[in-house]
Amino acid sequence: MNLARSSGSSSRRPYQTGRAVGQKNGSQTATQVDWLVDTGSDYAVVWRTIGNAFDVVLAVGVTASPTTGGGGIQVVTGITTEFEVEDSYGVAHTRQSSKYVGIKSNNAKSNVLGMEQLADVGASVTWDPSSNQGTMRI
Amino acid sequence: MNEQEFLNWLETLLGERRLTPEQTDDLRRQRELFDAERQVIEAEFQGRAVGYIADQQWVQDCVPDLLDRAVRVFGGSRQLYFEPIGYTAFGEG
Repeated sequence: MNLARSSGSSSRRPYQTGRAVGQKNGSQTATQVDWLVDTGSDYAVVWRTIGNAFDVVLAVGVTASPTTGGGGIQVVTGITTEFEVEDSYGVAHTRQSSKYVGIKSNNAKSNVLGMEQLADVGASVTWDPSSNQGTMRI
Repeated sequence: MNEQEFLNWLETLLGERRLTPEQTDDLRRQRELFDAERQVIEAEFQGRAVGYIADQQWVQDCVPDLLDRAVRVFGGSRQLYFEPIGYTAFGEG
């Protein structure tokens, strides 16, 4: 098991503590991230403050909510997501994905691990909301 | 984000060095083009991903296809403004 609900929350959604890795001003850096594993998201999305901890390598584009007061997301490369998966023997492995990451315009809601990242490392996800336990598996 | 909020955000990204002045201007232009066609886009392309890049409208089945095409064709030399129409592509993000 490597997924659990967020500590201190009654929400039954799957989280895992991992890292975002990249460079800032030419030096390697990393920051801890509580990832919400979200099958409704194509890509990983991080808070603005996490995004600002890294240099953007390639700025691809932006999207924004069309409604007043809504948020925006800048899609970039240069931030590598890192998370843990289990193999069929239950052995934990750390995996990284350098797929596009979205940086939010604010620090609202969760940092999200998306399906492009899971597909990139060949991981599947199972989640039991009744027991609040689950696994990202390769 | 209304138009002014969007422009303010672009200025923030410029200040945080996540965009260059040229990329900021490019995105301002692409958003203007999107907004000018927003009603038609929302009527015709529900469930698809629509973007503007280099003053061209692109429509793809999903956001990953749109982003991959943008990078494949322009390699980051032009900025993409895009929206998933009628759905969210970034979860709760």
